Amino acid sequence: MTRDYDLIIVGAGPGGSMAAHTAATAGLHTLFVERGRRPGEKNASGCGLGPRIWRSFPFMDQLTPEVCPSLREGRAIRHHLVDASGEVAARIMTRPTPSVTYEPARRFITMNVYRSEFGPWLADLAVDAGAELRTSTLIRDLHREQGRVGGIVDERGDVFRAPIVIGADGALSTVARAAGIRERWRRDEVVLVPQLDFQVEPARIEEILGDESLGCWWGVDFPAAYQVFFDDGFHIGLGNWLDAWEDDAMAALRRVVGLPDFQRLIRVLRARPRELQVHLLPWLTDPGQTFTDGVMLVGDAGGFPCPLEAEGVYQAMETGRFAALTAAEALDEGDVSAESLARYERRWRDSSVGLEFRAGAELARIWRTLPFSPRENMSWFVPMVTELLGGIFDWSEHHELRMQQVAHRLREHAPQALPFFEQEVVPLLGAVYGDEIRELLGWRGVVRMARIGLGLRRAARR
Amino acid sequence: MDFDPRDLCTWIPTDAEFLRVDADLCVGCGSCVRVCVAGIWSLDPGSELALLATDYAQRCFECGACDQVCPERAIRFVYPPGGTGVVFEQG
Repeated sequence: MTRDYDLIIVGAGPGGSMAAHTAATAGLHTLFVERGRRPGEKNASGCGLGPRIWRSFPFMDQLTPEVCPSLREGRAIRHHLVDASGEVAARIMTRPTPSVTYEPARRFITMNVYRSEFGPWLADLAVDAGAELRTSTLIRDLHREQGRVGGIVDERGDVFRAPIVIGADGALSTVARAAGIRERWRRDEVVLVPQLDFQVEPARIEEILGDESLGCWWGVDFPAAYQVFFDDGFHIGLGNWLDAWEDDAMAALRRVVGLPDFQRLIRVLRARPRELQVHLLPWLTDPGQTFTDGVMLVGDAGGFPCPLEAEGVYQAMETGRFAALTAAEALDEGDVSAESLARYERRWRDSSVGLEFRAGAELARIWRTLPFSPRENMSWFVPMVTELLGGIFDWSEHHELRMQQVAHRLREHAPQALPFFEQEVVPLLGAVYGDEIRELLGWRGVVRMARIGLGLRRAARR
Repeated sequence: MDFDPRDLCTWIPTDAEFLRVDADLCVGCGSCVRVCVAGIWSLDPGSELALLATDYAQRCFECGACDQVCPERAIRFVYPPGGTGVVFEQG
């Protein structure tokens, strides 16, 4: 078998760089190509890195502000519940909870870093391990030899040969299309995400926000928006599936930025708009087909972002590693057929990436029907939650009357809340816990819950 | 707060055509116009078909949403040549 390379990887994002790093470390003659002038400048959001990356990749301890100056630890997350009038009706701040089992997940929820800094850092690790990087290189097609995948063809028509190609080329993957795996996405499989970057003096962020470094804006008038704070600025972004946008995405983003509370935050931080970014992200209930003869897809190209919140960098790095390990084994055995590469799917299905998709349909559905259905469901969810949170701590009446008033309001939401619970929440609980529900509660728990129910009925009769 | 996307982004110029619409396939449904954050699509007042801004190469974010949503597959997006197009410096 004549070959220029053992393995070619298209894309030098987190998935591509991790594949290149793993392959080069395993001794494979590896090329990875990037269409940007440098890795990270064509990034696809994903600026909050999850702690599973640190658990899987020990070298992440070397990611410091010295090498990525925008780095900021995302310890506290603030949830803003915005009502129909645009007012923040309730706020909750959370930090990693006691049920979290490992470090550094106890220390941070996400590590926030500009992908334009993280991308080059990760690609450098792969280059240091021996992989060859070609930038400003767009691929046009897969190269075929005797009907089999045999490398890539770039836009100038130059051919680079290798028996295996890994597609790490993002949502609009040329590799996926050329390999016949996917022509394009269905509208309910991809989300459109505009994201606005603001510049802020680092000292002001530190002073005003402390360890708060993530924000969620849950709205009745826009799909849930996320806010990510860095050393010298923050992002505010939102998305929705292409089949779900009622108006244009920028209008929704402008509504969030225009909220009185958001405007006040901008004033306090003396923030000013610096950059607008727009991305298309796969957000699936299951990745489906991720390999064929001589080809594997990783990261966004493979549709791997998590089904609940579309976290994607961890998934890209893990699948990049799995694909490279699979490639090394297949090359060693001299068999790069789909049958041989099928172990790639077994690897990711058995990992933290794949296990997330066991309840993928239910997880994605809950996000679609609640935070991403502002007018249908957030319209009762926000008032219901704020009534619960804010209704009791109130001195407008004696407390017995207040509790009756709160209960009366809550009952008004029941016609929407109860069917929602039945149709969306119960299937999710069933998919996640299965038979464990009985085990978790135990027979004593079931008996106790029944007694609480009876007690409530008796109390109601009095 | 108002902002013009064009003031907040960097584009490396290219003369290559990387986005086009096939007028024979377009039915003027306006899906591309609605989905485009950059505002480079409009409906031609005369023909009522999708019209691409002539300066799209300096405005397109390369998200490809127009290509993805077109029900007639009239729009074809490919990435601009390597080393050109939109750049995210704080992405």
